[in-house]
Amino acid sequence: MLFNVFSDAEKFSDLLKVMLTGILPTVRIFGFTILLSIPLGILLAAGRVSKVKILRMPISVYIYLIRSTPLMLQLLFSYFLLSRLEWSPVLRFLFGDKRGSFPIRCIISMFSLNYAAYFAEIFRGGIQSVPQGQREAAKVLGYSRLQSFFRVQLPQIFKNVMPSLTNEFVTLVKDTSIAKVIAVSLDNRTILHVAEKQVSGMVSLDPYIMALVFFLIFNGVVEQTCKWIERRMNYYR
Amino acid sequence: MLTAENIYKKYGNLEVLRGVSLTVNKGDVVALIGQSGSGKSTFLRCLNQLERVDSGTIRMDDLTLCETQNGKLRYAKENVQRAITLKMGMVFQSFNLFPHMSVLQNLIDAPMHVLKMKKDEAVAQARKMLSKVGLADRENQYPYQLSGGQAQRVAIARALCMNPEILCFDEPTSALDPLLTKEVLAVMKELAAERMTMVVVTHEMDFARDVADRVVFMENGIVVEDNPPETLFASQNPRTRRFLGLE
Repeated sequence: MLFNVFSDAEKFSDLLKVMLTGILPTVRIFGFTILLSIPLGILLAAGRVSKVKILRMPISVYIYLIRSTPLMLQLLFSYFLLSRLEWSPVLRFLFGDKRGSFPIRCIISMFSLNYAAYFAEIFRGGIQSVPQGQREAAKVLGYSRLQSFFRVQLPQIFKNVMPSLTNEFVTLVKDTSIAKVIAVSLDNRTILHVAEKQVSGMVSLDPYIMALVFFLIFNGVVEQTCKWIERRMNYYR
Repeated sequence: MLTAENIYKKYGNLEVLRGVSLTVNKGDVVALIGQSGSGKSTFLRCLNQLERVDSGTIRMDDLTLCETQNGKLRYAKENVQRAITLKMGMVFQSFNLFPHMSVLQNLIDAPMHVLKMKKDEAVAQARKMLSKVGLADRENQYPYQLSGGQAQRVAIARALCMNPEILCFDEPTSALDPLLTKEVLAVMKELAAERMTMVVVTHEMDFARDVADRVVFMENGIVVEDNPPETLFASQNPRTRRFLGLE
């Protein structure tokens, strides 16, 4: 039988309990990645359109490297590179204990660095979509550059890029499954990671079905939230 | 009050300004006229620091924005540039209102965050300016809900809320149909009557004739003639006459 636990209430609730342990790590990777990658993406985008040439070049190279290689490979590479390094105090501060918090922090960092590159390109488009006249109006009114960016441009940029951001968010939810290539402690396994272990243990597809349902629900919530934000920003044209 | 001497500006090989000089005295309304491409808008943008000059001197009151000595151009420090920015207001052809802010927010944002004015003070001032331009009932609307003429009047009110000493207009009515042009010009006439110092780049000859104290005719990046309207519109200069269609 490929699908068996659904007929047995007890087995079902046991499996569900195990599967639920995958939710928090998945949400955590998603949440932290967004929190870190969006500001970083905005910074990269600002650097990329700035007049300072020594800023533009390295950022372009960075975006090229990140976007041209698989996230999975980046994860594996950074994980094994870092675990083989002699740890400086900075690394210890960033990643904590090598055996404890390191794998999950490494995952979140690499996800953030990766998504920041995509966000940077999206925000660059957003910055360029704000008419030059807006910057000029801000300048003649005496706004500083930062004020002009945060008060005048950024709100308009967000409105412009929101549909593209939604796309990235949805992809990120699914990409969390890539985290399973890194060995993490039991309580840091994402949904797919848990499901895989369960499937190989019980020779049944039920865990995959639960994982499917989980992703559908998660992304349903993400999409509706984004739509709500878009509607909120629709008070002007 | 405002002096510009010998301003030069090039875009690549194109010489847009070739030694333009202008003096604006307090209370003056100066109209800059000339064909498209004559350099009048570029000149105005240089005064407003939206463009950098290649050489020349610009002074505002006792502040020097840029100075050219022995062929070397020097711009003032950032804080002086900003001080000059705050003395000057600008109204654009395309309004450039902030679309994500209501009319009232458009009018109070800069006073609050640039001049650090208190909110109720900024709001009171904004309402005063709005009724001055005849749009007291529009404060909660957004720019996209306004006609071009209303948007431009809001833009004028926004500039006035910064209390500029000089208000510059860059073809303020060129994007408007004749009816809307009229309502914007009416506001500008009122400002002129209050002795607001204004520099207006315009194609509205009637406005230049009726309202301006001085009319400056530019062609190919130089000032051809700078005279009171009654003199300029009866000019003997063949180039001025050709532009005005007098011959």
